[in-house]
Amino acid sequence: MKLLLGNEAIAHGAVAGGVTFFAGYPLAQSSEIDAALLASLAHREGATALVEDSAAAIGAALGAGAGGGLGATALSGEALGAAEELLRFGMAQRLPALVAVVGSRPDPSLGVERAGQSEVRRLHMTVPGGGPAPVWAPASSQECFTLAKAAAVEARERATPVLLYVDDVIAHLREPVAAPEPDGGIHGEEAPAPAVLYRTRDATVLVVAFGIVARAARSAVRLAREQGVRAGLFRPVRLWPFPFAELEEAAARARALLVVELNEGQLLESIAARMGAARAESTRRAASRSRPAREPQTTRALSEPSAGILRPGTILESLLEVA
Amino acid sequence: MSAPCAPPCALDRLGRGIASAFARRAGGASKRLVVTSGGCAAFVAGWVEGTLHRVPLGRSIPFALGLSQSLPDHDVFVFLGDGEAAGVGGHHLSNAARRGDRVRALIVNNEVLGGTGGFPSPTTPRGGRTAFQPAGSAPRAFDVAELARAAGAAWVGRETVTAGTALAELLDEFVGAPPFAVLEVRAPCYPAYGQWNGFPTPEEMHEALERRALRGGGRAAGGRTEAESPDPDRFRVGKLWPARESAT
Repeated sequence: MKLLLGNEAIAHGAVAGGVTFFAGYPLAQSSEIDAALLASLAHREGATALVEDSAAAIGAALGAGAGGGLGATALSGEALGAAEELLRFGMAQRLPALVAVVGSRPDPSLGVERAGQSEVRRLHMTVPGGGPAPVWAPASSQECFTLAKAAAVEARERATPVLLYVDDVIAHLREPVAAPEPDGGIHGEEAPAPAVLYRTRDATVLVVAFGIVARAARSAVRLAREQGVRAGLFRPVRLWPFPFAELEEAAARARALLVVELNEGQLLESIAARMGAARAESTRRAASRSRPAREPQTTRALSEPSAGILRPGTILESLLEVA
Repeated sequence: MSAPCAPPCALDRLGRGIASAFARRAGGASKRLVVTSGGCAAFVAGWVEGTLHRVPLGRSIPFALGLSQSLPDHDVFVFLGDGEAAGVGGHHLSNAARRGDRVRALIVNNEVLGGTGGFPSPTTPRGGRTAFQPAGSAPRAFDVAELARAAGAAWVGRETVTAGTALAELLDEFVGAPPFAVLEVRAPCYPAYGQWNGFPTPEEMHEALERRALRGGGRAAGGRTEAESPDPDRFRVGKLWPARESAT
C-alpha cells in the first residue's frame, strides 16, 4: 500500500501496463504524471524525452507505438486541441498510445488550476464521423492505477490510442493504492467494469456522474435514502464509448435521471439523445427547470461550469427536486 | 517511381541520389525508417527502399523520435520540406537538434510552399515573387541549415540539387552522419517560384541557383567564405558542421 496522488498512480499504472516510452510536454495540471514517468523509466536509456509542445508529445508517443513499443504522454484539457490531430491520426493508423488528460473548466483557466470536466463532448468527437477513442474516467487514486494499467494493455491489444480522463481533484487527491509496483502480469487480466452501480436495484431516481462528482453524488444518494427517496448512482468508468446498455438496465425502474457534471451539460446531451427523454438543457449552477418533453423519463442536468466542485448538499437538493 | 513534377524541379536527381547513398550504406532497407509529413520532400521518399511513415503535416520529427526509441538498431530519417522544417515543424527541428535526437533530417528546400501552388515559405528570399505574392515576399529568409547548427545539430550540410558528384558525396556522408544530422538540399520549384522570378526555363533557374552557391568551403580550400561574401542571397554549400578546421 502506498499513498499516491491520482496523477502519480496513473504513471505507476502506465508502467505496470507495459509503457516503454514517455514523451512529455509538462503542464501544471498533469505534471506529476510526467515527473513520475520520468523517474520510473529513468533506468532505461532513451525511454523518456521532454519535447516542445503537446503535438510533439503525442506524436512521439505514437512513433514509439509504430516501432513496436508503447508510448505515453499526459496533457491538460487546454492542450487537447493541439494534440487532437495526432490523436485522430493515431486512431486512423491504429497506433497504440496511452494519453492521460487532466480535465479543465470551460473558460480558459490561464494557469489557475480548478476542477472541470469540459472535455466530455470533445473526447467523444475524436474521430470526425467515426467513433471516439476509448476513454476511461477514474474516480480514485486506486482506480487511476488500475485503469492506467488496463488502458495500456488495451492500447497494445487493440492497437489504438486509449485515454484516461481525470478531473483536477482526482488528479491531486493523495490516497492509498494497492500494488503500485509493476507486477509483470499485464496480460490475461479482466478488463475493468464499464460502470459502477450504487443502490440502483430499486432506484426511482438515478444520478449519473463520474470522477470526483460521482463521489459527492454517492453521498447525496445515501442522504436521499435516509429521507426515504429511492435514489441510486450510475457511475460510468468507461466514459466513451459510453456504457449505454448498462445505463438502460440500471435505469429500468427510474422515473428520473439526474446527470451531474462539471461543465455546462455535455454528458447530458449524449444521454438525453440516447435515452429519448427530455431535451438537453444547459444550465448554470441550479438544476434545469425544464419539464420533460416526453414521459416516462425526466432527464435533467445539474451542471457546474465555473465554481470548481459540486458538494453532496447541492446534488441532494436537485435530487429531491426531481424525485 | 517518379514525382509528378520531376522533370522541371529535378527532385528525381535527389530521389535517385539518396536511394544510391542508402544502397551503399550497410544495414539495408529492412533497418531503415523514413518519416514524411508532406511537401515535395514526401515525393523524394518515393525513390527509396525502407519502411515509410506518413504523418500529419509538421510532426515527422517528434514521430521519428518515438520511432527511434522503439527501434534502436534502425536508421531513422525524416524528409522535410522547407515549410515544415522552418515553419510548422521549425520548433521540432530546433529542439531535436538541441536534444540530439537519433534522427537524420533531409530538408528539401524549394524556397516556396510548392504544394499550395505558390505561397511564400519561411525560406523564400526577400523580394522573391510567388504566384500568390507577385509583388515579392517582404520578410527575410530563414537559413535552416544555420538554424540547425546554432541549435546544436551534430552534423550539418547543404548542397544544390544540381550539384552532381558533390551532392552524391555529401549524401553518402549524411546517411552515416552522427545524429541529429541535417542536410539541406536547395531544389527550387519552377512552377511555383522560378517562373515568377524571371527564369525562362527550369535550366536557367538551376544555373542561377548554382551561381548563388559558395562552393569550396573553408579557408584551407581557398574558397570564398560567407564572411567574404555577405550577400544574403548567397549560401555556402558542402559540409558546414563540424567545421573542417576543427576536424583536423
